[in-house]
Amino acid sequence: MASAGSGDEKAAAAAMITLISSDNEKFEVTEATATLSQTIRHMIEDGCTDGGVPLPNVTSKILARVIEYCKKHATAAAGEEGSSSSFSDAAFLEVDRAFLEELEEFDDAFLEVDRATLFDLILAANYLDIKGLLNLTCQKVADSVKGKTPEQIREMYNIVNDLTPEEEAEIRRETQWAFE
Amino acid sequence: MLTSCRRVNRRFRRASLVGMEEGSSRRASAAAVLPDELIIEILARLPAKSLCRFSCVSRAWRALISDPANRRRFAQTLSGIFFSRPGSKPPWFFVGLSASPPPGVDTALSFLPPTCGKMELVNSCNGLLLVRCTGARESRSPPFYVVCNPATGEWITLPQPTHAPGLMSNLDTCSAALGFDPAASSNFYVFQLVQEYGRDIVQAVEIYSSETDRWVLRESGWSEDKLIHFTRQMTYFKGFLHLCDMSSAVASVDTEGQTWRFSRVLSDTISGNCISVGSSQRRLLCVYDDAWQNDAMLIYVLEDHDSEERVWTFKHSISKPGLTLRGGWDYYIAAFHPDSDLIFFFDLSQKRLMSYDMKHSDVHVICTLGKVPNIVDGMVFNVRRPFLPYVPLYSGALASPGVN
Repeated sequence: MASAGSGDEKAAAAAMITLISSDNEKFEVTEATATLSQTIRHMIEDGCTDGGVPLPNVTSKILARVIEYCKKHATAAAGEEGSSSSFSDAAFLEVDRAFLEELEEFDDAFLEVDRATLFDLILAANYLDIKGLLNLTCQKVADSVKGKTPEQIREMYNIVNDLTPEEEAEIRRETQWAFE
Repeated sequence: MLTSCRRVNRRFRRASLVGMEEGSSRRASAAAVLPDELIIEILARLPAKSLCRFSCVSRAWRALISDPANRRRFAQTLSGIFFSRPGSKPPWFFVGLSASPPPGVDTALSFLPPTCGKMELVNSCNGLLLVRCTGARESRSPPFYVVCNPATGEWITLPQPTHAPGLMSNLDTCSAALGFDPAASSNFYVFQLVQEYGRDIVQAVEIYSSETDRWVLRESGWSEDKLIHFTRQMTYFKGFLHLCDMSSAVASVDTEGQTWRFSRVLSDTISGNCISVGSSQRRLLCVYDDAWQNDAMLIYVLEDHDSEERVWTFKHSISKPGLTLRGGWDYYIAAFHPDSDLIFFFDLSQKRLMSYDMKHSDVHVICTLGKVPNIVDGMVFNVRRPFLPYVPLYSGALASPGVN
């Protein structure tokens, strides 16, 4: 995972940040990739990233996935900045659209993980303050529970129903339409 | 940086949502658990229907979903119906659809200043209310419109249209509607119909836009015969105001008064009346009464609102005797549920507010509005819409230069 991203930009290659997972694995990433995380961006601004950034809440397995996401989306962000200048011809828009589609495919594939990993990604995205990743992962969970019954939710997430039968009946009566 | 690290440590306090693969052992890692803050992130991405259902997952979930601090972020649905009650103070009341009223909603509109004078509820749309105010008694100025949000207490006074609101002389300007769709834009619109008094023909429409803070007056552009026999039922949906026409058609006009549409729901050969138009589950619905044939309400739906060809599809037939209605015109459509197949109607003879479930043909009496002044013809004084459905809107500010 310790590659330097696109590498064709000398400036970017120069500024590398080392991230250290909870299990002490070191990941070297470009500043452009790392600053998708607001948490790390603030650390860089405060000048406290020398000697690496310890991330005691993120395991190497999850951090590797998060970096994979950030690399892809950092490239996307750079592309957007480029396109917003003066290029607006059809050919360029075509390239743009192809890239967006590719990004969407990447996101879909990225989310093909088990539930525990998905939750770990949500926690990491929240801790590292990566808005796009938090939105993506939370939306994935929301989509997967949207059509479920309360019973299925309890089973999926090992939640104990501590409502009394009367309380539950009362809620169901009020919101009967939602159970269709 | 430090604050964010502290914040993270606080995040592992509650084990409300445990994520594990079926059959795998419980992991010791704190990462198997999502704190409330992140459960809220997920709930905020759910439609109202799922949220209502998940209120009975557990006490913790019920608390999260009903917590006033979170409501701004959650999808809202129909919470009740405003019902005009001319002569009382205020001249309306609110019928809640669940035991707990929507938190923080001032249904009496007591946040409006006394300078509003006497008020009438004219229309509602996606959380906003259109109120017609007479002003202070001594001012002798014509009535004016106020648009307000009873969940946030925000309100603005609109400038005067060309024809004063609430006229009942040569011209009739009592029918007006709000157009607001927070998902599309923070701007809202007000449509005031200009009719010849005592006739149902719409001559012109005045349209206010909060973006420009101005009214524009547009002569009716409905082409078929230029005039619409308006049945006083209308609704805003997807950028258009839709009006019921007596000839069992729906006439529509956009927010700029540029596009005028007219679509027949039924062929002319069937007698009856378009009695109500509304929206539910992102589709436009039209209720047609064939009192002369089967004594039933027929529900038609416009599946594709955006297509040029406006094809209304028959969806459901409701037998009025089956609803214990006396038959004939003895009822009033009060509301369409925005997220389900429920229709609310008012039984005029027994003064009962009822819901009807189109999927199961179930009837449910919500309440009896016993001491209500008679609204038998639905048009006492200048009340044109006795029932206004209400979906709370907790987020967003009223977009206008005149915001208070």
